[in-house]
Amino acid sequence: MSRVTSMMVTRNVLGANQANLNRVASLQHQLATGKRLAQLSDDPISGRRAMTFRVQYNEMDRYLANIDKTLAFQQASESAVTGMVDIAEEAKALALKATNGSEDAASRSAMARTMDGLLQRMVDLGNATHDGRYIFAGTAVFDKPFDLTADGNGVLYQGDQDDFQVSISKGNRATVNLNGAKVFQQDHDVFKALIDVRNAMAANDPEAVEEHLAALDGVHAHLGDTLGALGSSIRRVELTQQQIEAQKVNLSELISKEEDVDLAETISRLQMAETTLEAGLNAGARVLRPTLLDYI
Amino acid sequence: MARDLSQQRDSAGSTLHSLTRDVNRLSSQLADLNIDIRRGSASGAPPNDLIDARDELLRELSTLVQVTVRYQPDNSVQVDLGGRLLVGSASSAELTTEQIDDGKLAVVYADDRGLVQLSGGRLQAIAHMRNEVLPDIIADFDQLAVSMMRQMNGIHATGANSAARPQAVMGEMVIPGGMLNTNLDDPSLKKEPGQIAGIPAGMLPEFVDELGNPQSTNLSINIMNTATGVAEKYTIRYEPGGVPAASRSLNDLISAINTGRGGGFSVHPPVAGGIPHLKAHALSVDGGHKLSLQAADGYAIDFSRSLDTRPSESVWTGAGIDIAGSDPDLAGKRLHFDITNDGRLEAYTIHPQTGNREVYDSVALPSPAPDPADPPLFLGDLEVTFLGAASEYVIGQGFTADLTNAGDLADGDPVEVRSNWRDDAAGVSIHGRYTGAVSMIPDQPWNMSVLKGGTIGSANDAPMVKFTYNVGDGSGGAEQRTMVITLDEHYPPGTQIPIADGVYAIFDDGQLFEDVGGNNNLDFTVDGQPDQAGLLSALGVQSLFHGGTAATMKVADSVLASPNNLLVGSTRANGDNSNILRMLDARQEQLLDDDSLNFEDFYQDRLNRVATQVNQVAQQKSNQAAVQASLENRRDQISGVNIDEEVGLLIMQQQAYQAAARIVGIERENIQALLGILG
Repeated sequence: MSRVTSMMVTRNVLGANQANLNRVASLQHQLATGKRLAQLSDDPISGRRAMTFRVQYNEMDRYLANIDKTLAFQQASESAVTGMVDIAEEAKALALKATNGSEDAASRSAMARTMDGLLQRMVDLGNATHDGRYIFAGTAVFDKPFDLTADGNGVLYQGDQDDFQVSISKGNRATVNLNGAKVFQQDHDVFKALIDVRNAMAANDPEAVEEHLAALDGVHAHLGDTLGALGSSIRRVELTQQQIEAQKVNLSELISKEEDVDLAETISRLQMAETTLEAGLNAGARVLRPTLLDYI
Repeated sequence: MARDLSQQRDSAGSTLHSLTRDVNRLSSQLADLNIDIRRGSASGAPPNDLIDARDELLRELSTLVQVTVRYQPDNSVQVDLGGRLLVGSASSAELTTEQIDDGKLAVVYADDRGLVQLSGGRLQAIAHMRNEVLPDIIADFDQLAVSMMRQMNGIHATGANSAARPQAVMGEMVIPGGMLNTNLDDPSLKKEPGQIAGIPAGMLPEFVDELGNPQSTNLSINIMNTATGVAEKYTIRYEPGGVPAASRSLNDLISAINTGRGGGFSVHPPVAGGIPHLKAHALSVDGGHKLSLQAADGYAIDFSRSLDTRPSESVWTGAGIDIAGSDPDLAGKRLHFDITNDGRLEAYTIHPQTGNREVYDSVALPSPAPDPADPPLFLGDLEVTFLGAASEYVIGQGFTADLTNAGDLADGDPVEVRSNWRDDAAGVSIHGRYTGAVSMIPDQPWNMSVLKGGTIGSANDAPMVKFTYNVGDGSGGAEQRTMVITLDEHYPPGTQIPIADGVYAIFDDGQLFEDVGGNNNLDFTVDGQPDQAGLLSALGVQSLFHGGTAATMKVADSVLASPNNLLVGSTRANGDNSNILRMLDARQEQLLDDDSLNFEDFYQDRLNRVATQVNQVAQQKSNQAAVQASLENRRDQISGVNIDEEVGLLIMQQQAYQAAARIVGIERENIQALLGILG
């Protein structure tokens, strides 16, 4: 049997008491802050996961901001192209009327003037702006892209051929702009079609008008296609937006799982720790007090 | 955060110092006690109070350092620390702290500066913290900072911006004084902590490939005329040459910019006078020199991939030229030849540092137009012959020749007459944002040549041009491809004609002439890697971040002052954000830890290491506390006091005393009775 001295007893009682107090204090801290991890070192593995999730969560917010800007820009493009489709329709109707044999030079020349008006509006739509920048100019966004030549017989593109992209989600870049030269001049020259019909009308030449009507048809169809393509591109971006918002919700759940306290569990653990503390103090008091001197 | 870590390191250092003073205090008190105890023991009973006090001091000392205690027969103690005597019978050795190499703080003996081997105790723990743990963390963060800076600065420097048109550009890094002729990738240029001069290790330029073999690298500079918006692109190309690799110091770079050649650097296309409208020099500052680039008034500098080049404007339109002879005085230099106002051919070099012309020789031209029958022209030790008939000499035009280190001309056809364009031909300009990765290769330029002459944009007399371009993945050589296009009514003057990878050409109004005898072809420079060696970030030119360590890192003042100075694009177009996208991509690149981690992963990894260490140490601490408690219990088992035991023994003594007192009483009665009988 080993010898037990007063110092030993005191030391044991105090030591156990400290350990219990520590446990109670940390549980209390967890409850008060609602967080399981006061520092990364409390649970490094969990903490690392929580950190990773947090970084991703913040990224989501930035992507959403970028998507908002992209959508606004693309919607402005969409309304400009919609306007162009309407103009093309009007132009077609007018041209059809001009091929009618019952029209005469005077009425055709009036139609030519109307057509010129339509051309101007088309060029204006080509020069549409959003937030102070020209939409269809490539990356030269402060320079007007489309200019009618002095003789009114041509439209020059003065923007550039580059596109700009925006990050809309991890590893995913969306091209935001439509390049004016590619869309409105390359395969189907929108402006040239209007100019040709106008000139034919002014020359009072219904056969020529008929010839150019085919090109005008093609232009109308092309603009409709462009609108469709733009619409589906906008739809894709909106889908990405929805996906990202769902991911955000997911991530905040995951973060909470790692970081936050489960109230019920922690409270019951606190109660147990308190009970242990009380029992330890009680037992300690019993052991420390009595000595032989009390009984002499 | 780096500053906090530095502060912690400093405070650990001062804690170490004050603990050392504590050790000194304890050991001198022990020595004094030793003297008193020996004196006390010599005169009789051992002085127990003093011995108890000494034991208490020994206990305190052993929490600070691990010592060996030897009890002497005269009750004094000798205390050994790491094999040397710390406390003797009458004196103690003093310790102090001293800075040794690598910035470490060590504990040494004050008299001979001998190193103390610490093992165990608070001193060793603090020393370990101060000398290993904290500096390692600081070094990790510095590594992260430098790597991030190198990457971002390199991308930023090769960007452009429609608003920023700097006429002068200065490097932020200071090359230490006296090292202007040291190779820029020499490790002796490394910046030591606390110094102003030097390039942080990890940001030094690299003129070698992954295997360590010297390779040629390019640096592109664009000089833009701010009034017309037309820019010219020049490439400073480093060629290692043979073994040892050609010199690549700051002076060489400056000389190349000013004269066209310097060390292993040379300028392409080789125009007279180095890069026109641009002067470089080494600006003297505190501690050394900074690179300073100054453009002429009305011109701006950038290092981007923008391509507004009018290649037809500065070429020799005369006949072919042959130069023979050699002159050792011209070794390694670029010699320029100009046709002057008064009908002379003048040859000159440009001084590398001042940029001044130094005329080599000049000779009168025999006639306004070159004639094969004319005798060769002698300039100094060189002989110039004009070949073939051509249009007259044009005043102001010139050509250049590079001379070898022996003073001879390089080889074969010595003069690089790269382009030939008739004055009256229509102009052409090259535009766009080159999205490929192929760098400039001197013998394989992009080229436009006229296959069939005609009027641009005409339906029945359309010219045919052929474009030659390079494609590849950017590592080493590139494949040449061609594209032929007829400039008919579908391509009126001013139309953008795409060539490849985002590069397009625009022709002006006018005529093109067939390429007879190399008379209508143009070379132009397209460079997908504007700064292959990382010179711009090494010298701190147009950097986004300044500073060399995690603690000193900050955003450049010019960018903070105005967001217009943030180079967001690859071209000067207003809506171009591609440079920022490149910087974002760099976030994902794995450049750290042997190319396995990107910036965020590295940071999290190191953070996690610290957290795990803290967790482990906390666990060890509670383990050790339990062990310590059980040891103390063992000690108390043997030497501790149990009150019950003592009280029991005391009662026994009391009873024994009472019993003895009783016996004394009985004896006294006995003796009294005896005395009564006798008396």
